[in-house]
Amino acid sequence: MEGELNPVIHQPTRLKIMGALYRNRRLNYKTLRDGLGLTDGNLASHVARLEQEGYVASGRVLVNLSFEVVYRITPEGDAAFRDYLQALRGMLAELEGPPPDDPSSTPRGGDNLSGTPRGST
Amino acid sequence: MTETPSSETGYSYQQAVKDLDALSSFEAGLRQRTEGICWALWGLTTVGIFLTYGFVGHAWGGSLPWWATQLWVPWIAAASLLTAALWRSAALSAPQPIREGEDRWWMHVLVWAGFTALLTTAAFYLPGGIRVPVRALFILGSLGVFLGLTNILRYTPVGRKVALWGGATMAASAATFALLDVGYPIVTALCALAGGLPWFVGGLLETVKG
Repeated sequence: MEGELNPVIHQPTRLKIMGALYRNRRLNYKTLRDGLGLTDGNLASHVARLEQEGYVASGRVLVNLSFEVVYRITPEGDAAFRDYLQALRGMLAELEGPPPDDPSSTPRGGDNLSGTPRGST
Repeated sequence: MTETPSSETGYSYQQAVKDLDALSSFEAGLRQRTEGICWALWGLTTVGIFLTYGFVGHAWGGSLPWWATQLWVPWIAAASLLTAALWRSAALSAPQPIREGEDRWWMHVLVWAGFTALLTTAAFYLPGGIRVPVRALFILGSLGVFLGLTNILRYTPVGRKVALWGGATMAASAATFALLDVGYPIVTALCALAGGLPWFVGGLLETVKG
């Protein structure tokens, strides 16, 4: 059952990176590192893994007369994360099982998983 | 996909859900984008109000009928409803910071509706003619500067800049227009553009950068 979850994303640090990028579409290096409480090396290694899979892309943008590294989620990453959320929701539903009085109700554990990008206003 | 299976890493599904929920600090971008769209919306609303008064004033030969004093109401009502809908839409999928924005929407409505009611009412009791739209633009710009300086509506840092610099641009434009020797329709059109563009463009920029 667990093999259905994308193992690249189902890792604590990478899940947080993907979750943050999924909601915001793009974040700069400092925001991501400080917001998630990661070290430079930790962030770099996990982002490299995500870039290797094509889920995240990085670039440099000019902000206030200096360049800063910006990460953005790719369309592939967006689709992969959405699939991950759906699979995770399914796993939780299987683990918890339907309530005895209402077999068709939504599992409680999956309620807080949004199926749509949170940052797409 | 050569990662260690999740069963071996010990990373449970429940923990994954908790980690996703703990990402609330990353909602700043969503808040900024929502606020930017609201600024753009109120910029367009400002253009609409100026043009409405300009059109009616021109059609009635400069002497507005009594009901025209309330022409701002449908504009403000529509913009307020859309503002509330935007914040609610953002809050549906976001944790605390956005919910604060949703809870505060009525404060925005109160400030803008109160200001517009006072402005339009006062405008009809003061000497009219070409000075009315210019005066309105100046007061509107001053309100933007006031909101930017005091931040009583708790804007984001970028939103605060939009309020402040947009307002300053409007006030400066009004001071310039007061020196022009042109007709009422032209002044009204200029005031509409000067009143709406700063917040519209500022809001768009805020949204794009968010």
